[in-house]
Amino acid sequence: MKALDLKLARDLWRMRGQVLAIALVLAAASATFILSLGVHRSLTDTRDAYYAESAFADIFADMTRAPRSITARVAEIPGVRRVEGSIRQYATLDLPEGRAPARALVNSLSTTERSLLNRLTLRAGRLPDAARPGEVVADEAFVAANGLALGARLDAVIYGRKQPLTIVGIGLAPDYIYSIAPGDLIPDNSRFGIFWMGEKALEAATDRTGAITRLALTLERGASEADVIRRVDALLAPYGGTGAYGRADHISHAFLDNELMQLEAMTRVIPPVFLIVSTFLVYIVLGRMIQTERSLIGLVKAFGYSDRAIGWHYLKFALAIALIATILGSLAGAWMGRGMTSLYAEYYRFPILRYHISPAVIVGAAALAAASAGLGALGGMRAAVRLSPAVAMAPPPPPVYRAGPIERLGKRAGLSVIGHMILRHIARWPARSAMTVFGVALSMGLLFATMQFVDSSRSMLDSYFFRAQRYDLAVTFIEPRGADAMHALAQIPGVLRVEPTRALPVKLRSGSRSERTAIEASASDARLSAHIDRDGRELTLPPAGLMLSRQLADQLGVTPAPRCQLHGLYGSKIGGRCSESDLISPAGDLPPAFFPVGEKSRVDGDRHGFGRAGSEIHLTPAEQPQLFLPRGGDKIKLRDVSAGLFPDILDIEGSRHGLLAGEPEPRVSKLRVAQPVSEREKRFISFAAIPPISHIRSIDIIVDG
Amino acid sequence: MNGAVSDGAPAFRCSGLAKIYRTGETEVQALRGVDLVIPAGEILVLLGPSGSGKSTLLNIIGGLDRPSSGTLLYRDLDLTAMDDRELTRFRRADVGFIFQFYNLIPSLTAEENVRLVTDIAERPMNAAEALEMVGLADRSDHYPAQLSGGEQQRVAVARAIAKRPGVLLCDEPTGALDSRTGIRVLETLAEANRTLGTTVVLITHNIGIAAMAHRVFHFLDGRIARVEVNAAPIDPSGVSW
Repeated sequence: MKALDLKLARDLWRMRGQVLAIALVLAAASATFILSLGVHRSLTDTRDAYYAESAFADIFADMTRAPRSITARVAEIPGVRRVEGSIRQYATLDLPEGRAPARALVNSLSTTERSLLNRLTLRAGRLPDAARPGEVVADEAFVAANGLALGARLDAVIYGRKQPLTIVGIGLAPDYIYSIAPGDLIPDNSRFGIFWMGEKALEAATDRTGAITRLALTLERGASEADVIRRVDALLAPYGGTGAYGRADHISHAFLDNELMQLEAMTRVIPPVFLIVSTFLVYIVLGRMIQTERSLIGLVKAFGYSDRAIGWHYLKFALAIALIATILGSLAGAWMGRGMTSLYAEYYRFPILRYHISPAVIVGAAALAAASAGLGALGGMRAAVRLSPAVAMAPPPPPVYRAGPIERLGKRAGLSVIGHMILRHIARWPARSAMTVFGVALSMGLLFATMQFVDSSRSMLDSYFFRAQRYDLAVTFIEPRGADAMHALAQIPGVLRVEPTRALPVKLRSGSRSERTAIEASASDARLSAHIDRDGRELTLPPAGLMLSRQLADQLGVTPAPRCQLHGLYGSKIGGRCSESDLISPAGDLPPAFFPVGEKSRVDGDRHGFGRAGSEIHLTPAEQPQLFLPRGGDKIKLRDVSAGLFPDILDIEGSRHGLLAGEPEPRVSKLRVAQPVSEREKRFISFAAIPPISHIRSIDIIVDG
Repeated sequence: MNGAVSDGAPAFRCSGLAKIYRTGETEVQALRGVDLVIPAGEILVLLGPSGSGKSTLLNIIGGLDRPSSGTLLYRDLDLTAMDDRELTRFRRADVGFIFQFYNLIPSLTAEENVRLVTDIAERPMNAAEALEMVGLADRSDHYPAQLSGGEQQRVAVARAIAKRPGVLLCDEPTGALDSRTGIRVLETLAEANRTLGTTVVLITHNIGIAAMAHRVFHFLDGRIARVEVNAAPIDPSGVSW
């Protein structure tokens, strides 16, 4: 090794404390870069390969019930490549050992021909036998979370009928990479499972012989998704279609996509902060080092070392730091990446999800670290190269100080000699002083930025669980129910107050912009759930019209207007005032648009017989009554009572999931009963007070004023 | 332009050499027109009070600094016409420097300090050989902090002669040493002059050292006030301190 390189190695060792400190900051940048980019690539590659292999559909459409022959008509739509129809049905499962019941989404599976789309991947066992109607394939995460195995037997209530099920296979499908029960904030594998059942068996269990409730289709290359969706919507309208949607609105895909975007943002935001700080640190350390080695630089120049050799020597010092940082960062990044991937594997169900760092990512991280350290070394290198050997060997001349305005201020303030020294020093090197201030400010900013995550999560949970959700139990029905449902719930011993809310899936359109969302309707005197704005104030719903969260209003490009019309797909219009507010974006899947209930809203131009043109109607829907119970009221056997009262309860769940209190189990256990009304029973449920605006799938917002 | 010369031809010739320094707001005229011929293979001593221009002249003839005016030739090379890169090459090939405070790199051993020069020289001697010449073969793996002042200066001499320079420029090499170690250092310089034919230019405040020189230049106020030619230079061991 050359003598100068030996000096470099020993300098690095001598200054190991500072070198390691800078390397650690730089390593944090490399680690975050490798972590986020590595996980992003792993996740993207796995997803794309899995989508391709299992033929993940491009468009999905749900409907109440349609004849299976509809698939042939959809297949005729220009741009459609493949279509497949299936049945999806929520069911309630009785888990063994007296555990609270769980919910399942049962999908039909053709037992005669291979699925064209969203193909099931069997992880163990076999597909259901057409001759044995109780056989199902269960998703891997649910089976694992509940300690089930092949051959396990469960009792399920499907479409109001109790049916014994046997798990004969364990599988995964691309449309359930991420699955979350409706109304849940976070996925719960132990309480919500995806099941696949033989097509004929599910048809029989749900009285849907020869019918389907869901369509999945793929598009030809270059086909317009919007065009196909419009045509599919038109075809499915008579069958209770709730609106076709593309991958972007598919919950599993959207969650995954959102995660990928977050990872991308992480790559863009966090590493640069560490890179800037480490550049600054290298600049300071190398600058000081060169100042102390002034005479040494002169000496080696006197020996005949060229300027380039000297500059390269100090650049190597910075690059060595970058090298250490890359090694540490790669190890830390790979370790964290593996951890993060296994965390993802808990939420996202892929057949295989392995963390893989491509060499290009490491090279990229190394290049960033080298560029950052090199940039920091530039100032020092330039100073070293500029020194003439004779000047370098003489002691540096004293710096020129001048009495400036700061100095005069200091004099007036009666500063001590040391105080003057400090002021003069700051004023003598303003750039250096500014850089120091900037560096400290940046580190403080980083500290605040990271600490605010904890605070804002706490604040969000607090406003969501304690301020917005004041009820103890929420009961969700499959179909909207009238005031009778509320009265019946109010009769249950221990129930103090019952309030109705309703959520309608809609597509809001304003000009060329549109968003799929839901409108939540609630009574104007509602007390069990509140709408909290950004400043923590409680908002009251406007007497008429629609209130949008600021985020949704921005997405749609809508501003408050004295009058606006909600224009329904079939010509119905709901007039009123359109307003926006600084509403906190609700957590979970709460709708960001709110519609007042119990007020006179106009529904015009109705051609579907659910109201006369120009008539005024009174909305009292009760899709989700919220109940407030006295202390200890959650202990009542609501399930037994309510199951007897309402055969069509989809879900009963308690609020305050125990997340904040750190309770291992929810304070109020989730009781889910899914006993949907049969076609026959449906006729007896009163729809009198409920306008069927759930049939409005698309609403145009026309701002008049 | 490499290696020692001892053919009696002038190593350096300069005329009208002047140097003005500007330090902060002050201007110092360090050299005021120096005319000088340094014959190759001789030992020369520069004497004079502090600030008389000795070190400035040494820096200029060593290619560390440039004169403000005047001409300077090393053999037939015009040093004043050289750019930075050529001056660096000149120093690398022909000039060995020895300073009052040794200027060893503390993180390198004696041998590695010598290698700092042999790594880039064109025809260097082995580092161990150079240390042998100054009598420090057994101290080669010692760090500067483990060596006495005299030993450190001898390492500096070994480092300077290892490249077989044409000229050795010594700025008060014995200034920080006692008489015994000082004489030991002077002996190694005289030996380099004798065996390698290296021209030695030596700045000192010690008038006794002038007795070992072939020529003595007396400096005053940036000019050469007087030149003495010594027909019979004595051996360094006879120098009175």
